[in-house]
Amino acid sequence: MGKYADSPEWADVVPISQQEHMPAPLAQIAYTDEYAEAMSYLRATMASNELSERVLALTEDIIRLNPSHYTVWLYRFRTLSALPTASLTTELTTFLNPLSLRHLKNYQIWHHRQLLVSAIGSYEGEAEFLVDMFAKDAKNYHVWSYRQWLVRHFKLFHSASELAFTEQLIGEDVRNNSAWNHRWHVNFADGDGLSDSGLVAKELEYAMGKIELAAQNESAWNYLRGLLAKGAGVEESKVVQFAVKYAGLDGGEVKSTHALDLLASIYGKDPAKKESAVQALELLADKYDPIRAPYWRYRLAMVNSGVAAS
Amino acid sequence: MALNCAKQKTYWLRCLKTFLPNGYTSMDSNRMMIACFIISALDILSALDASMTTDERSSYIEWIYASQQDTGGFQGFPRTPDANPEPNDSHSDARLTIIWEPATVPSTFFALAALLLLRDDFSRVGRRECLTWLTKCQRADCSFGQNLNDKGEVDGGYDTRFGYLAMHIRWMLGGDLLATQEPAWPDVNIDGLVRSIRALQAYDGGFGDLPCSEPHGGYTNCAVNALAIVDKLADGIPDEDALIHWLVLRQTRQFEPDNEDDEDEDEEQGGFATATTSSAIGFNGRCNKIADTCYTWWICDTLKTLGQIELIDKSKATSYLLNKTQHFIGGFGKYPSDPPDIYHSYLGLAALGILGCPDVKPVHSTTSISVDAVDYLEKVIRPGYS
Ligand SMILES: [Zn+2]
Repeated sequence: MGKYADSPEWADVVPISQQEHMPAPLAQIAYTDEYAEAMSYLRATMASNELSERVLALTEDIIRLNPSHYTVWLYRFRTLSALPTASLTTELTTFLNPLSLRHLKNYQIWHHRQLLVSAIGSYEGEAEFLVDMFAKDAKNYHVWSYRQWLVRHFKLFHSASELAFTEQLIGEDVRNNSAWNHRWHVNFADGDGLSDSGLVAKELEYAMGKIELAAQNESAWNYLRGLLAKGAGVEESKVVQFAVKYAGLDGGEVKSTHALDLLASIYGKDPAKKESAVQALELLADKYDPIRAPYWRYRLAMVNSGVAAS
Repeated sequence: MALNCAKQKTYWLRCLKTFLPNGYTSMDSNRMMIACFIISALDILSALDASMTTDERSSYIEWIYASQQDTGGFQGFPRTPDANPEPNDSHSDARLTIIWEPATVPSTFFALAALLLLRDDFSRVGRRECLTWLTKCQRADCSFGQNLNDKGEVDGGYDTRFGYLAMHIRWMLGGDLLATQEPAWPDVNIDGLVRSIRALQAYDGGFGDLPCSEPHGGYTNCAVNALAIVDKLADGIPDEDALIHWLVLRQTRQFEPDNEDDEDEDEEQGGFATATTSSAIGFNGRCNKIADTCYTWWICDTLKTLGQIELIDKSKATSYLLNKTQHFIGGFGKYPSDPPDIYHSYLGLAALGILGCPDVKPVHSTTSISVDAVDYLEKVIRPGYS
């Protein structure tokens, strides 16, 4: 009884059921009958290493019931590769795309996609599909990882369309840290960008423009700090001038803890500015960011002892 | 609220003794991990011995060993008997365990950890086979993958978890002791692994899955703990100040998924996280995300390994777990009032063990199992290797 047991197409296969080996097994799961049956046919086709059309249908069934079973995916890819009639493009568009939109938190799907797209050798249509994925979850780690793989694999560093894409997503949500990170990746992951002072200056302007929209946005401040620490030709005084607008010392208005934090870092390195660094860190610990008070006090102790941190 | 020890034990006993709900089907190929979490949680609650008879304990041990492979390592779910049981018949396609049920790095770590917790003596672990197999799971770029396929290629994604788990397998099996012995056993490339981890620190201080990827609490924890167990923290972290800065910035009072947007509006109006209405502090895994139970583990534990756990307020971090995500039926949910799941329930409990909660055993920072179990490894198992 069951979909496979009743099917003449599968009559030649002897299913192999799950063996627990022991009277008291660990982590037993209450499978549905449907899953248990399909898995017992999978064990049998795996045992004979069958690579066939019906195995494609069987693995599709199992993936729909449990998309996290890693060897099922590897088995499916090997079957696809072995069948002259199988189309990798069809696999991508008719099987994988709708499945990806349903199972957002699955890693295997993206690994399978990488295998398919590198075998196909083209990323045509990928950006359009990813728009749908990001519409469901604009911070999905697997999807961003995959997009960064596309950038590396197809050499899309500094590509205008990738940069425009990050601009669009940052425009929709200025706090989307994944989009900020992708922007860094496209600009700087190939290794040359950080020594290009023109590019670094342009990105600095970009970050400052976004901070003006949301002063307390950690993503934009981190991007700016990264440029200051690693980029060529950034004038520290220009960054200080910008940051003080958001973190007035001596009783001025404070609009951003990240600005105070950055000023404390910069001032902390300069013995002549030690008092300002102390003031910024005390404001953070006592007034503006008390949930991190133990950390600000640790930084304070470092400044006071003459060892500047971050 | 304190830890509800009775309910917590009931939750984990149910996981140990009865079928897990159908929703766990997604963990079907990772049952070894679930098994280890269940046993370890009961151990952290000091309830392991009372939870099983002698017969059950030996049955659990046998169940774990039944997943061990002749060629080294453990697979993540019960092994399917070979259709052709002759071990020397390498031409037979029927030897499916070699092809489609490979040993994996995560399952091997969790199997060994579970055996330790059950106080097995490791006498039946194929040490040489396992350590040899482990060297082959390291890629040319020195990162580790999930498993070795039948063509000798490394499968699996780029993920610092694999390097972290591989270094702990090596330590549990005394690979570090054997490398200096004659005749030498094969060893992994430690310097290469350290270099590959070093390349992962991002511009904002955390570690991602690949160079210049977005930092993530889990990847950062595994990167740091992999370095710690091979005593290479200083070599593998380019900028420790930036790492600590990134870790402490993960503290947040945004607890509720639904209120994410409201909080943003507050901030735009110049609001800061100064409210003293809640004494709880949660942790997010990435910048501008909300708190999630598991990141209290991933972030606090990383700070603990770095010797900097005092940079957070431990009582407020504890309060988040006990008062926000502890569930009344036992276990922990991902977010406040979420139903418990095994993953968040385990990491919530392990985090309490790092934060010094008196109701649980102290937890060892790089492994997430009890200090007791690690002592047994160090004082009983490892001395037997020399
Ligand atoms: Zn979580």
